[in-house]
Amino acid sequence: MNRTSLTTALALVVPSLLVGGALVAGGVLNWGQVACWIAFFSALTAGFAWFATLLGRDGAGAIARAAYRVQWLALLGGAVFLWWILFKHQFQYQYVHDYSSRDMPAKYVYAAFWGGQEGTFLLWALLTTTLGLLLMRLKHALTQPSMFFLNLPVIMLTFVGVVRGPFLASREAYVEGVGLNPLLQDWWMTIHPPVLFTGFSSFVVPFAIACAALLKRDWDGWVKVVMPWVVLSTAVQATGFIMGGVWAYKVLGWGGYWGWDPVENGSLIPWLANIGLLHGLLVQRATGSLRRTNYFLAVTSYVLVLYASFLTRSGVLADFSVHSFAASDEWRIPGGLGGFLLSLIGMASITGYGLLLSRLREIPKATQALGAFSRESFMWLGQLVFMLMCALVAVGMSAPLITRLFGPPSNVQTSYYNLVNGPLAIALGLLLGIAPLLRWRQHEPESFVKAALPAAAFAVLGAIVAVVAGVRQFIPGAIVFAMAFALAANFMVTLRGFRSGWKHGVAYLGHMGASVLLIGVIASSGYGLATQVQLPRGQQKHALGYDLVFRGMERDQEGKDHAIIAVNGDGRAFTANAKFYWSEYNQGYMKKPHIERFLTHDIYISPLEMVGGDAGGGTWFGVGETKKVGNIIYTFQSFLPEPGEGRMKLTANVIADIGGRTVPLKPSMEVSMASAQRTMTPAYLPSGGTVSIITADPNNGGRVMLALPGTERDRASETLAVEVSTKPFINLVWLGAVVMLASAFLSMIRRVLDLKRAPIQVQKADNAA
Amino acid sequence: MNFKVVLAVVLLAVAATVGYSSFKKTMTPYIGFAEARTASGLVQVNGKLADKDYVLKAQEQFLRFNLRDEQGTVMPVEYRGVIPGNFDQAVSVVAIGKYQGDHFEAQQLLVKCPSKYQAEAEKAAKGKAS
Repeated sequence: MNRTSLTTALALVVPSLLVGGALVAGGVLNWGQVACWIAFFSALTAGFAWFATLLGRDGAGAIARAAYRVQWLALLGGAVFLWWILFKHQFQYQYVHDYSSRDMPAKYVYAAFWGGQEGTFLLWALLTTTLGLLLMRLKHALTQPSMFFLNLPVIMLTFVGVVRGPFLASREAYVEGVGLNPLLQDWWMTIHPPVLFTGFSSFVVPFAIACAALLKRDWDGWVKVVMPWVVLSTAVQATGFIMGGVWAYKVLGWGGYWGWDPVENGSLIPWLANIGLLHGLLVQRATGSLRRTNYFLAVTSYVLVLYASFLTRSGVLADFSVHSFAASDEWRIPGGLGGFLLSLIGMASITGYGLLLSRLREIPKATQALGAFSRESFMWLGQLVFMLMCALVAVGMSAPLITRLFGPPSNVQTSYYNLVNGPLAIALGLLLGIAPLLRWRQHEPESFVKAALPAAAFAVLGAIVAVVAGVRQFIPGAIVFAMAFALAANFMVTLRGFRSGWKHGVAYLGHMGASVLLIGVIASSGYGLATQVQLPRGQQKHALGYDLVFRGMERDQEGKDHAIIAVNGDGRAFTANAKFYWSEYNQGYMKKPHIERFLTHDIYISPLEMVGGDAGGGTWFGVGETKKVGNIIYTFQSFLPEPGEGRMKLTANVIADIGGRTVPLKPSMEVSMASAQRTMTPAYLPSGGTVSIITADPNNGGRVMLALPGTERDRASETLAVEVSTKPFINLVWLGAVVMLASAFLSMIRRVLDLKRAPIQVQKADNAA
Repeated sequence: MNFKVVLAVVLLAVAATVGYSSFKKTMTPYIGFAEARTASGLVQVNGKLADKDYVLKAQEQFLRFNLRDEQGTVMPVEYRGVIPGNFDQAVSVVAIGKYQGDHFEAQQLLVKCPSKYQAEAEKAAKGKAS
């Protein structure tokens, strides 16, 4: 066996390296591309070899495993090479030019790996292969066929590496790179994408094991094998989008942690399907029912990963999302990533659903139906709620595609998601509380009522507190009630569970985390106050009970501006320091909110815009005259008068030269003949600030007085528009999230231990009797 | 019928109803200017700035401009709120709102100003396609 592996590895590596080396020497390929080609060929070899094992040739398994290891090494080599060219600023690679620059700090150079599409596909392939390497270690009848199915998408991902990898030569000889989008230049960029991609990649394992189980007619044995992987996906994916939420809240200044954006929805829907699968598997393990549903969900969660990638990466939603990743034409290009993702979806659905359909009649039904009043029936209902949430979110994010079939493409507003998920969240909370209190199989209603009474009392208390605190609508109030019920019920069950060992309590701890999280979401998103206020420099303004004084702008060492606002209120005086600078890259202001944290709430101060002041004085320009103010050279060329009825409009034709780039500016002034009232319309500078006419003298040879940014008078009249808002009980969101994640990772350890311990105890382990 | 099946059917029915009605209620179709003039409810229009002849009063948070769609139709748009700072550079503007009287009253403006770098990349992508 060992000899076979060695021969295979050598047979793949030696010729590839020789041919690759020759091609590199000849300048046809570079080492990155050679690595991609080796990975692709190895994946193909492994695929064929595993296919041979499916046909009964067991000897091929060793070849497959060796080829698979070569492929992993090649991908790793490709990744190392990508980091190497990024850190060495090899701008002869288009990818390096597009996503990095010399002046970028090392942590962002490192993160530029996943700054663009091509790099993320390489990362995706590497992570998928790495997870497969772990799965391959398991000694189980399902391992080989699972690896065959896991390898299918890997073949396609490595193929993308070959045709669209990050190693293409630059189109021009660049000496400097573009740099990473400043929006992404944040500490979170170094950690959030890899975690989210690990989550995304991990859904392939339940998919592969389910396919293998269907193929091998393994109706129940796969549950134990797949369980740790399903919990892994739940845990890692949730970590990924919770990190994304923290990033959005603390840095991006959207005012919230969750915006129902296609990208966020895309990470949520596979997770909902996966958590539905997790609960379905628990039911199947205890009672033998839900077999078909579980296969369906295992396949669906991976298909949803691919579908979400298609929606966010192909550009089909480009006109509908503020944070679309791709050029809007990507999906129309033959051989583009959109077409590739569509074929991946096709491959996964045909394989997964095809196998399920072909085995559908064979899958045995449970010997005993779900008991009417039992834990499993309520878990089944809970699974249904997860599936409905998943379906409704998926429908919402697909709205532009669905409506395109019937007429003009249109999108739903984000309120859609709150409307549809509200009633489901009530149901979820109630089920989350009821199910853990029940026994498997059958429960006597009387003893349930007795067990549920303290939780119900706590829920009523919670609802009363909510109403007193100002909750007046039915849905949010009912969600608080249901979640309080779930919290109390799971608290009791957790205590009971921990008494018989930590393994029996961790899952319910996660339920507690989820209910605290959702109460926090209701409070912080629905009951905060928000107002927009304009802050002229130096003047005290009042908003939401706080006194605010805009002190001016300060520049940090990185050359980025910060708005400094003195705030007083809530028994605390503090200085808000909100990053607010013009980005040449995005042609827009980059904003980072200031968050002042209190135990019960946050004050969130988010800069919106810099509003030019009404300047009292300015700089005179004659026609054709050029003056330099700050770094900008202004030339006043001519007046463009437009006489109208009862008014006179005067537009000044000014050219600004900003570091060699000329920008036409057309500030104008409108004078009403009757009232002599003047209306000024400023022109905006791409570098920030405005140019406006203060007064004009068209008769005397033509002169204009302009208010220019950077002059003393202008600075004194800067006005900053900010949004001030409060986020009540935001700390419950973070607390709930941390508890939920801790529980998920502990559960994963537990399931791995279960897998290692030979015969699993089926019913006793989870019986909350 | 079984108690839990009844519950499941109720859940399904509620989800379907709420889903369908919410979808219809919150849908903001992307429509042409002619339709926007007669449509009821919130709609989405997009186009380019027709000219630089707009009124922008930052302090009063008022903006009035002319939007031109792909067919060349021009429609006046008014917007009250904090004005996007890069409005002047907009290559494309998405306005969400409804038609009122003689203009489109926007509740929300999305201003797209692709940076020169992105524009370059897009050009390259198109070049590759053809």
